[in-house]
Amino acid sequence: MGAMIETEGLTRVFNSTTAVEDLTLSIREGEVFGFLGPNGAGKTTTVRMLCTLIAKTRGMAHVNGLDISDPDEAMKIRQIVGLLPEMPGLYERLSAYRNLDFYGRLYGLDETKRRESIERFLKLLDLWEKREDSVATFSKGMRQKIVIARALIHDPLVLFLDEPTAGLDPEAAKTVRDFILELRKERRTIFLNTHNLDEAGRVCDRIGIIRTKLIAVGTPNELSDKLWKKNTVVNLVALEDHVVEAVKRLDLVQNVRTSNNSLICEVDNPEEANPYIVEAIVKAGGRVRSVVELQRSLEEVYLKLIKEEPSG
Amino acid sequence: MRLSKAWIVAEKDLDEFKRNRFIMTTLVSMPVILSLTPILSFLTPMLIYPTAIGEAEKLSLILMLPRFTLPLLIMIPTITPSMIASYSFVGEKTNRSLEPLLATPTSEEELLMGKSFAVFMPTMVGTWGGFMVDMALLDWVAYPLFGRLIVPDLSWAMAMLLLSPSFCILSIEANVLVSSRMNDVRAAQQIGGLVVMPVMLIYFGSLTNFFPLAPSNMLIIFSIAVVTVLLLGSITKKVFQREEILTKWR
Repeated sequence: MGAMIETEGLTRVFNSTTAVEDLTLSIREGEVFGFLGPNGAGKTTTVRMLCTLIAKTRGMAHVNGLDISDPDEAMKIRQIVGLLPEMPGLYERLSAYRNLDFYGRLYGLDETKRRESIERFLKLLDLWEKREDSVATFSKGMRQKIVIARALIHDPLVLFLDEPTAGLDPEAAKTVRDFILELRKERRTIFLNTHNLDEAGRVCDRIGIIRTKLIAVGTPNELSDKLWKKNTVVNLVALEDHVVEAVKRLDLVQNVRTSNNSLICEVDNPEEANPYIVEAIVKAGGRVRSVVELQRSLEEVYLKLIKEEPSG
Repeated sequence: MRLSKAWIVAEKDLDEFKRNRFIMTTLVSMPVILSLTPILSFLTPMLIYPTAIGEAEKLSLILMLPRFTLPLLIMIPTITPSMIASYSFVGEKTNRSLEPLLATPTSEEELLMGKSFAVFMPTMVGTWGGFMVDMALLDWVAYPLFGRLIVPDLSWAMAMLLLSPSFCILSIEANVLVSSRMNDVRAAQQIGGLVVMPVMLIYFGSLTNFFPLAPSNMLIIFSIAVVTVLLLGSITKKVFQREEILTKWR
């Protein structure tokens, strides 16, 4: 599948402050891409540039092959992207239906298509019964659902979500996350700005970590692999010295540490090394309870990358 | 620019105005107060004490009434937008609804035109409503005495058709500029309301006969208003840009 979003050296400078520097990215069609970074890292600025809300200072960017800096193509980009901004920005005095209808009209949908689309999303998000209620009476979670429906009303190819679960209670946040997962099934390209590492880990195919400059990009596992060697953890019934020595003698194992009754073996390729490790332990008289690959959480990956990178 | 898009924005704003008690009160009260106060303050004593004023004085007073009321009527399209436009633009800004709006395939001109149109329409309805009420009252009192309608004359027609719309547009433009720098609706209304100052000068100029609202003077005022509308319009267009709104509007 081709790239839906492509940037090369994308840079934005506000007066003397560089918000985004030299961003080079390629996001495939149908991919859910998570953009992580601390406050002020340039996440929102990137989304605004890609949505053609603000101009770039340098570099280039294309959304579905359309150039963000060309005014005519920018208008076409706005037609094919949906934006869920950090703040809902709903019209409080208007009903949920009227809010969505207004946006549907701005996106040029005819009345039938608007009605169908609004009904579909409000039913999907469990708000159809409240369609005529003023948004002012809605809870934060309900408002966020309306904002999601608003971003999707015109069936966009690309969806930009800027902190979609920020400030929501766990139940509402779960509803929003589940909805993102539903959208993922539809193979819609999603660009997700978030602080929530757990959320990013659960819904994103790939992650980009930014702090003015792009620090790293890849799947959570790829990012982890770049930072740490792979480790196989073998839990034993009892830890004995000759068992440890037997494992240390293996060429496929680079380093062995112990912790309680566990052996932590640093390896290049766990799939290749694990059978030899188990065989060596058993031959040495050790008894294996379990063998697992040590998984680093996205939080560990993120914190290590952010700590290592000097602030921009 | 697609007028259909601008109309969508205008309709939405009008829909919001209808649900906003403050705006509805402003839209109704401004024309009522400014059109009825001068006339009633003149006519009430005449109606309550019909013999206290001589016939000649009464005729002179009635003939003077159009001159007193006209400057107040042209204040309606100047004051009303300052109340509504500030709400429309600052409200949208503080509500953070401009970002998703700007992310739609709608041009800045269409948004600006739509929002301005939403302020212009009810303001002009109120203004012309005020003119109609005053004309009806004045002619109702004057016709039996003079056997003819005393208004509208050329001055009134010019005030209705030239000055009022241009003052209204001027006020909207000034308020868009004020709104770009303000985050509080009431503060924006107060500062935006300063646009009424030049109209106050016209009012006092007319009352003191230093600058009467005669057709020739009105043409001068209208010319100045048009030049200012064009000047402010180009500044407003520069201020009302996506980039400017999202990065510089405070």
